[in-house]
Amino acid sequence: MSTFDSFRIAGSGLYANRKWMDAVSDNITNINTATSTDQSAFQERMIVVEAADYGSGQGGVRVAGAEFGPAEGRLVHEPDDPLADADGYVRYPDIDLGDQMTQLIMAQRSYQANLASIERATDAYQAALQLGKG
Amino acid sequence: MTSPISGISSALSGIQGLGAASGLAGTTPAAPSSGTDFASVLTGAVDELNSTQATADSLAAQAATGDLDDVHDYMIASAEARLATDTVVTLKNSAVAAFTEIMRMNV
Amino acid sequence: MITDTTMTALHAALSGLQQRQEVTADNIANIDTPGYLAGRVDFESTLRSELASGQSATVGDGAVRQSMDPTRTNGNNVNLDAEVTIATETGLRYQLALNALNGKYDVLRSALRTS
Repeated sequence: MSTFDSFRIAGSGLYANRKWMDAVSDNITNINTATSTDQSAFQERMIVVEAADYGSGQGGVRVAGAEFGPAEGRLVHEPDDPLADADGYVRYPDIDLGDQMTQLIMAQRSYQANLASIERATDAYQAALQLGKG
Repeated sequence: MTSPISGISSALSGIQGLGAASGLAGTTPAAPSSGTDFASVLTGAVDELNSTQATADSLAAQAATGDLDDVHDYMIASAEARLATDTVVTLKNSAVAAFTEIMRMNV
Repeated sequence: MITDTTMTALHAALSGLQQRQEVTADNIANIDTPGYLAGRVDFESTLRSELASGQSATVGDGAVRQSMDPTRTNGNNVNLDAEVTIATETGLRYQLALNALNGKYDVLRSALRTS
């Protein structure tokens, strides 16, 4: 436990939320990326977070890895697409834009909440540094 | 660092000796109730000063290396050390002022 | 007679924290530089071992090493969130060390009062 642990803990929260936002914006950017039917579709990327050393009192969050959505995607009949197979189908990613926007808002709000946590901790520590001043 | 102040205890016994020798022999001096005479108050304050300063110093060393768990621990210890120093210095100054006053008496 | 080991340790901490502030600012400035590895300042371990062995602390620059955090595709491994929290914490610890040093000087000054 160092002196000003709140900053390290909130900082890990900032990092995890930023990774989340990166993943969501990647998903949104590639929402119309078509692939041919013999390849897998663009898979939705979801990050997995876990508490750092849960119960040890160390505090903080860790990005443990990434999970990927279904590879089958949606088959769409587009015979004019250069990637279309013999039957005229291409694969589109199975990503719901509404769901991604919701996640983006949640990630942004969490990021702001962690920033507020840092601000409050700074105020508290500065007040503590004034203790005993005549 | 406390050496200028810890010498006061020996000066105080000098003050008490002076009071006994300078013509108060005719009167029976009122026996001071134990533990509340000025010398014991002052030595108690000096002891408290030493312990609060030691606490504040060790917490300051922890603050320097970043091992301090609570900031307010150090701030409180530092304020206590400062107050203890002020107490001892005020007591010393009062003792010196009283001594000077006594020396100025015409007997 | 005036300076004791605690004051030297606090002075060493102030130098180390100042250096950490500079290195952090350098990291933030280089957040997009390809191949740049974030610098980390470590003065605490030297200070801790010096205090434990009773030596007087050395006041000067601490050890700067490269962070071994994972790099992005351009070889840069500076993490903005980590740097911002390090900068905030370093600023507060600098204030704490200044307060501590001031406290020591105040005690000495009040001991010299004669009225």
